[in-house]
Amino acid sequence: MKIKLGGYGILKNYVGPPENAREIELPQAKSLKDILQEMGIPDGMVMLISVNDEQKNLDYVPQEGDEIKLVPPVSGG
Amino acid sequence: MFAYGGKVLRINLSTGQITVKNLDEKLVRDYLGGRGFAARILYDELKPGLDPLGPDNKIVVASGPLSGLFVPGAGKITFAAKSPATNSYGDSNMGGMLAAEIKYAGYDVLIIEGKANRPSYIYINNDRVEIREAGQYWGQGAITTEKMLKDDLGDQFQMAVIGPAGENLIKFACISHDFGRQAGRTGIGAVMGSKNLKAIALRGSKSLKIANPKLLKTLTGDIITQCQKHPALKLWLNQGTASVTVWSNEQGSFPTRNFQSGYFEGYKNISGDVMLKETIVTNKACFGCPMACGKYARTKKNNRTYYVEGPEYETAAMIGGDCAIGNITDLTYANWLCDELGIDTISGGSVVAFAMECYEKGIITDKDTDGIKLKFGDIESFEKILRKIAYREGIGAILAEGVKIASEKFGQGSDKFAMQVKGLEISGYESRKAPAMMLAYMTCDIGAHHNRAWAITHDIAVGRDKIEGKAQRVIELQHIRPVFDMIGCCRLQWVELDLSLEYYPQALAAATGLNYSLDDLLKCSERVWNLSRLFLIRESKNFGRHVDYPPARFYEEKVKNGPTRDSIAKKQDIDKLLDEYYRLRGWDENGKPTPAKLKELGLL
Repeated sequence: MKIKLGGYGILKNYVGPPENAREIELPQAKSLKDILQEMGIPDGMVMLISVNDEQKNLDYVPQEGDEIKLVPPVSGG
Repeated sequence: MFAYGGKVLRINLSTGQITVKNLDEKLVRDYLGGRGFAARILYDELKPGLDPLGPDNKIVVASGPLSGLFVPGAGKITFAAKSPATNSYGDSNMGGMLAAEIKYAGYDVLIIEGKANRPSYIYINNDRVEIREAGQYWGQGAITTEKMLKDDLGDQFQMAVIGPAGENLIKFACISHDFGRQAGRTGIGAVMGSKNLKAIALRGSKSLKIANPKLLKTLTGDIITQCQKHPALKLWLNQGTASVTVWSNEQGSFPTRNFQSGYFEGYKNISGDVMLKETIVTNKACFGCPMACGKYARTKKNNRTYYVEGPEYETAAMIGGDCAIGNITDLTYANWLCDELGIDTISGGSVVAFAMECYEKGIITDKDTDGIKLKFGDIESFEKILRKIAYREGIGAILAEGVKIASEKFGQGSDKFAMQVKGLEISGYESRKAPAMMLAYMTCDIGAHHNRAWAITHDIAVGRDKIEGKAQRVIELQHIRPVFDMIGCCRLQWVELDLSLEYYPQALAAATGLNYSLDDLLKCSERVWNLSRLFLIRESKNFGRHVDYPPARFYEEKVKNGPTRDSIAKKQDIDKLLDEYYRLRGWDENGKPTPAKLKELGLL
């Protein structure tokens, strides 16, 4: 199963920007939380997850062809 | 001069003299606008050692070259003066409509000098400038005053007003505008009060000349497209900055009970989601902004309905967490109270939290508080003490000085938990396990404020215990973020919607015809940073690296609970951070800019 993973702000350093998203092959279904952990993205770096333009959380299990965008935390004013 | 109003309006409230001069081209070249103009003018014109609340202090109100243009976010204006909170350079940045209005009136900068002999307000309608009597507004709340002025002068006027806190010289009094936007930090509202100046009412109907309107229009279109396709835009439209409350608690960085903890057990009751369900009435945007992060809210308290913009994240942190006000009705009401009294919610929350802890520890008692039983989480005692502060009644007169001076008066070791740096209360991030964020607070030029370098995500990304490399990132942010305050633009499109920084020099060139690279802009920002440091050195009786130290709580007490429980900063790490920071800045071991650095920046 293949998915595309892109990130904004500081997350670009981990997965590339959305326009140049990283394609990832998943041998088995797993949650986004597990995927991000395996990629070494620290806890707390992802505040918002958009999957095919719909908001999801870290428990979401990606499906074939998903385009996932990761957004870091906002600065609070 | 393209995009600039081209004029400096100077008003002397003592003599009534009003003068208009052309904007100096060298000032434009080296300092761009906004905070850059303010720092240079105040450094040059203020006599060292003057009383910030005396007639010799001056208030500079400065827009930027992009203010009022059709670039998204170009609605920012700077209010600056010698700060009564820090006794050094102070500024605060405000959104809303005022930045555009001052430009349309033909001015980039307003300099207010002297002291009126009675309550007054400044009336500016393009070229018509008057100092008018404000007796009918004096004593009124800030929200009420703005409404009265709108009724009297017309909706097309934009106002900057103070509430009772400003009139009574509370050192964390803010300036309010547009029923919910504030120049909140460093007590510039008290400087207005010290001048008997209740308000500034502005109306402008002139146009601005743009160097390359076609290019600016194209760039603006690109910027809007970029912003609209970002998935976080919806979050901003829904919740604004309040969307960070949940995340901040999950990271253990939410100041709670006067920074005893970084996790507030009631945070889910004051989150952006709860606001969305219970209090938000509509979105509110600053001039030309597609993000509309302002959330206009309604709450009922004691059979009365209150309308207020907020609470923003910082208010949720400093009143919600730090004073433990754990439900959205009380928090929204507390926000309204601060706005109407004209108190900065960040410092106001911190001061009340400090008083609550002093009471809890027996450092102050019923005798001191006139019977008010100060208790974390209690909105009634919060309100009573806040009103005492705003009117300088009883213990309120001591607390009105801010936590630094109040702790010196209360003694008994309370200075260790007076959460401030340089006299300014720390804003909404617990930082014992976030060295970059702590260093950002320690070294911020106006005192402990987050907006110069919001570095906590860097801590999380590279390791929260790591010290190495943190100073470098803090300095980068301290140069990038104030550029926005100089060009008169909001930074949120960049920091939250990932807009490329490269858009800004392009927009600046299209608007003004001035060709600056991004590096040139950052150099201007570094110049201002060093200039404000020189201001601090000039005003300090005993300058040294101690001025950059955090409160002892950060390195003597562990975080009490939550995800960062038992965290503590090590003193040797604090020194290591400072050593690295000074070295990278080209400052000596005591934090003074070296002659070589000043020469490089054209300051020597």
